[in-house]
Amino acid sequence: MIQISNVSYQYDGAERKCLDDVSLTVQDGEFVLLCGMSGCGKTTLTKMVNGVLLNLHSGMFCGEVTVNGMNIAESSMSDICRKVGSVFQNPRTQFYTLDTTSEIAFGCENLGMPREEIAQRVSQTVERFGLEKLAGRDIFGMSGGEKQRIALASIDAMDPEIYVLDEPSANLDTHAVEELRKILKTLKAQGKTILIAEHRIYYLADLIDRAVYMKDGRIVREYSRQELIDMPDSERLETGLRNGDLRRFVPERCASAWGDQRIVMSNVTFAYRKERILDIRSLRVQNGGVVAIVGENGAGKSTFVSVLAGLRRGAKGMFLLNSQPVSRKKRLRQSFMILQEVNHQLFTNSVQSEITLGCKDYSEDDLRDIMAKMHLTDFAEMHPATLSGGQKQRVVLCSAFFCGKKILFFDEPTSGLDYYHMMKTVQILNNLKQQGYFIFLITHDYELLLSVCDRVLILEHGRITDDYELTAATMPRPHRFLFPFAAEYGNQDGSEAC
Amino acid sequence: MKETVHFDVRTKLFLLLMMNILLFAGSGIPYESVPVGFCGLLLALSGKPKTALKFVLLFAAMAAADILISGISGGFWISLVRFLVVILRRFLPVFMAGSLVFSTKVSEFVACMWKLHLPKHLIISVSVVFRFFPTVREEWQAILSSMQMRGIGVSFRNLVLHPLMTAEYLLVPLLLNAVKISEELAEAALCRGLDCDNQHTSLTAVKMRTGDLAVCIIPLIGLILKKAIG
Repeated sequence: MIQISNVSYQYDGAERKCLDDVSLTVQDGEFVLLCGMSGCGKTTLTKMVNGVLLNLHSGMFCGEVTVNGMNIAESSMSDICRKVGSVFQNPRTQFYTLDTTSEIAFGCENLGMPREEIAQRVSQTVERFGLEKLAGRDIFGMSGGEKQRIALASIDAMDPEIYVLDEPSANLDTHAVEELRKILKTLKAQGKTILIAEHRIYYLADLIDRAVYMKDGRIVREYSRQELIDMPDSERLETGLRNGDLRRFVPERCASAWGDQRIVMSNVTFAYRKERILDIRSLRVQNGGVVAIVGENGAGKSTFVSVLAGLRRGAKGMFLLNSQPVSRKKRLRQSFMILQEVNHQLFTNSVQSEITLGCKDYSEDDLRDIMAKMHLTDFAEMHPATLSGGQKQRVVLCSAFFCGKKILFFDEPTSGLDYYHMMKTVQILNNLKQQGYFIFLITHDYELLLSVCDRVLILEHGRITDDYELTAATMPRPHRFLFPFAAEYGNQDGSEAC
Repeated sequence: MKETVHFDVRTKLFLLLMMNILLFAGSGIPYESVPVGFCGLLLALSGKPKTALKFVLLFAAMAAADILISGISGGFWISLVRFLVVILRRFLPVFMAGSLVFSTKVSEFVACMWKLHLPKHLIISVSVVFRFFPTVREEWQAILSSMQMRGIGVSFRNLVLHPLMTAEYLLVPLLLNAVKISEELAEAALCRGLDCDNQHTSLTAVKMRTGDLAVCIIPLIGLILKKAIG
């Protein structure tokens, strides 16, 4: 049982509390969802329960947190980890060893279990979660979804009573999320107590017992499973909560503004280590609309995008921009990619120099104009590393406009965003459409796709297997592609959730 | 290449130590070829025959060069070449033993450190460093890609005209991310008991076998013989 009583916490140097008089009791075997907008305190609350906050950070704390009778404030990480297992959102930084079997055994080794017991636990976990194919593999070759499953396996081998998860689906595609859901279902069936902070509600809809909604560090109210599913769109924007049942989602869409500029790709192939990983026979794209690039992990989406943007050398085939052949270097000059990991894209020590980076001649007036439009004027002299995630994205976007790039690529821009901020991204994309950019969007965010995309390209093994404009008639197709397994499971009360 | 014999980490470390000591026990091509041959054999047995061959061929080439220039005297370039083929050649067994040490799997290395009862904090620091390098490599590649797109990429032109700026553009995001990554790594590892005070065990068995004993004794015998015979 987790008992949180009147807990408040303020980081050293922070202006306000990130947890403000929070009280919550989670009974044994309950599956509780913590939800809310970014910055509401749900992640902080999970870090309170697994001891990370009190042991590894410094700040002002008051209140009491006990887990199965153990007072967290007085316990060390090594004590807490025997009872509480933690799963974080970034698959890349969660594993410690370099191969999967060692990883699953890692926690048990730390706890000093005898070798025979570790071997037994590892094989039991592998069987329970169906990970036979992943055993003994090098971790660096694996997808995010596979890594998250190994992370969960590693905790399961330690067999704690309580699981604390912080947005475990953040970087995963829909198939990986489904695998994650199956594992969570197994854990719930075992009677484990689960506390999970999440934005994506749909995959948990038939697992949660209740949802706790937080705002500004406080618990505002609780929702039942049905209330999350039935929530109207207006309330969704206000609370920032994503759809509980994706099939009920009806987007409000802007008309597309297709222009008369064209990119043509003809017989474009790209090979890596003698294997052909991209094969595009013919593709014509217009500006002024958002082209969604959808596919499973490893389907070739990033390859497609980096070849088109001119980042990869050695691609064969013809590229035309407005009927003129365009070389790799020229494509590179015209292209701009906004990555999922925004920290790979900030290079200077002020927002202003970041925006003008790579531009040779520019006018100060233009610069001021564009900063005002993106609400960055106040941050002009600040170091990009001090900004929030959303602000960093705006800076990167601003640089793209300023340097006069024509072709924009977005790689999972809404991964981990709540509903409100996702809709803000939709607004930005709609603006870009109106301004006549070429826009390519890699995404598996169903709500984003339906809200803003005008055309859908499905990639499988480096080939385009489906290509359609998103209209009223074709609206159900993305759902069928992203969630082919939706028909296989149902809600506890008989209705189908997705 | 699969390994025929598995050598314990401690054996490999001891071998490295012995190769360093043998460096001072004698010189000359006939004397040096013995450790080189021995280490080459061990590398081949450990599943790295290509590496073994490369080192042995390198030794042979250096020895041949040494013989060729032994008559000629004086001059800057001759001295430089002599340095390479005479002095650097003597270090080859050390590099070979080092290569053998680095061929160990990280988890085995860490398991061995625990078995040796080294201080907990030393083990954690070393294993974090091992864990860190592959991540840095991934970050590095991603950042280089980004730089290319912004027109500040690591090209010949940029390196010549703006070397410091280019280095800054690469290192700033790398270091900032390094901090973030190491924090996340530490949190995740501590949540799985990395700093538990008890003795950490290991799934992979860490023990010395007869092969290990042989590898440890042979260089010792060699050293004793050399000192005795001269």
